[in-house]
Amino acid sequence: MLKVKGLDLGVVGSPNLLLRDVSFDVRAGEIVGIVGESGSGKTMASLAVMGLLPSSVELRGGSIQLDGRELIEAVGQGDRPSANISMIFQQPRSALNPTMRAGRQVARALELNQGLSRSDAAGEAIAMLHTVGIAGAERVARAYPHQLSGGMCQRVLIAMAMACRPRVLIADEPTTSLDVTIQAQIFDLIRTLVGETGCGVLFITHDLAAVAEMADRVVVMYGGQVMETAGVNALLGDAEHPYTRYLL
Amino acid sequence: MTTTPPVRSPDFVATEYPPPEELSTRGRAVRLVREKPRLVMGITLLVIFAGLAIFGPLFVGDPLKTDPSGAFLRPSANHWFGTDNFGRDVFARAVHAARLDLTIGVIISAMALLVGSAIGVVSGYFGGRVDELVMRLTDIIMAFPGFVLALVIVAALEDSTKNVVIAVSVSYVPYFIRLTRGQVLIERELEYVDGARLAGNNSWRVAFRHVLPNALGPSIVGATLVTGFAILTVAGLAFLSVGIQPPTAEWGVMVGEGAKDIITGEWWTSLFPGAMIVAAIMAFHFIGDELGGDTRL
Repeated sequence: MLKVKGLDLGVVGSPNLLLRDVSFDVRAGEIVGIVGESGSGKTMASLAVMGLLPSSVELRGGSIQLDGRELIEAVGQGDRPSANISMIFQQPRSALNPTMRAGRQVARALELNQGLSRSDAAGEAIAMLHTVGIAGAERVARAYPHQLSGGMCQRVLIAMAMACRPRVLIADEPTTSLDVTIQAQIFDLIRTLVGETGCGVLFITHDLAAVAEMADRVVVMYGGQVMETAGVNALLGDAEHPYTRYLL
Repeated sequence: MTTTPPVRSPDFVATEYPPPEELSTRGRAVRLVREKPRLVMGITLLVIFAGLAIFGPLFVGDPLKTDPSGAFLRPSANHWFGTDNFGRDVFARAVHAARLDLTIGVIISAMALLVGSAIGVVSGYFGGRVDELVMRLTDIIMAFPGFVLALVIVAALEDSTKNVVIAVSVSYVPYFIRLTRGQVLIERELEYVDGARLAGNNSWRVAFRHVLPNALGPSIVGATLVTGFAILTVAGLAFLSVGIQPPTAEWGVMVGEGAKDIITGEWWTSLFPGAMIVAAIMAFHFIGDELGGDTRL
């Protein structure tokens, strides 16, 4: 479904590459983990797919396809390359607009992506908040982000992302800022949503335990390159690449 | 000898923090006065002025009624602020002027805020050539003192209250452009902006509906300060017979008309309206300052 092939990224004005020949794909209903240490390029790869590259980073080549449609042109232009890719962030609280009520933010996403009217969207937003496991969705919908816990914010963010009905959901270390119990709940939630909607997930993390629990397949990155791609059991059982073995 | 288990000395027992002191309304008021005297003073002054502006004119006489036989009366129980050279009641005039001056001040700062923040958000969020152009234009406007700029604009149009409002607004617009732009540059790097884009908002929506509300803080604080300064500018222009003209009851006009009376000993015709100007500016300044504003303009 999502196919990234031979992606090269470089810093503007420097010949060095940040990402070299990065390729991976995500199929429908599949959770693909990208692991690697800090600076290995896993976040850059996901930002490229989202069209959120910082202005100092440029595309040097490669291809990003969603369902056979080439997105690489759109990626360079700073707009959202495809409505079918959504993302949830590392710091859920800062990824929400602090001056807008949580429900309204979800409702906006519904209005924009599903063409609902304002009042329909408001109702649907509460339903969505309920779906992502928020008890007392009406109350949370009226709250501002600073009144919600980190776990709540992440759920709101997931509701927003799902409101776009994405084919692919990118989760960039969605639980690093949350504690362990909430982490488990968020993982469950993501898995449930994948089961229900059949979207693919690109799950970025440095936590191999999380990968073991969540992912179907794993892409190991190091120094801007893909070291190894394998099924999660194969990888954890018998890593081929020395770096992967080192990580384990 | 038997060993006893170590017993922690009572010092080690974690003591609970004392519960937060419950304060009565009066206690809270006292604390607010002690901790933020300027804020309390500013708000008190502002409330007085607002009351004066809204209800005052209902209780005082006609500000334009002349009485040749009662000219230059000293302040007394009948004429709190005395009367001027035409026998007009200075208190009545000052109260009517409060309504005019405060209204003008608020309108000017609201207009400058509206226009300045809109330009600022476009400039800061989209950047590039538009930003460069806007910044150079604000540089040019800011190269002139606001007072002189307003003076020139009113002179080029014609003397009227409307034109003064336009002119003074224009001279404060660059201030809000800068404030908003600076804050937008910080806000636009935050993650929720990416989030808003991913949710499918186009860039204009992101700029105006998501970034702008979050970037308005400093400008709103700035607006309270500008309101005070706008009153001063308007009064200053009127003092120079630019803009608002006699016999309108306006503080600057009154100070301008009354200034010549000082030599002959009638200090009250200019002192009271002057004191009103000072108090009004102080009110806005104290509030803006306590809200965390940068008082440099």
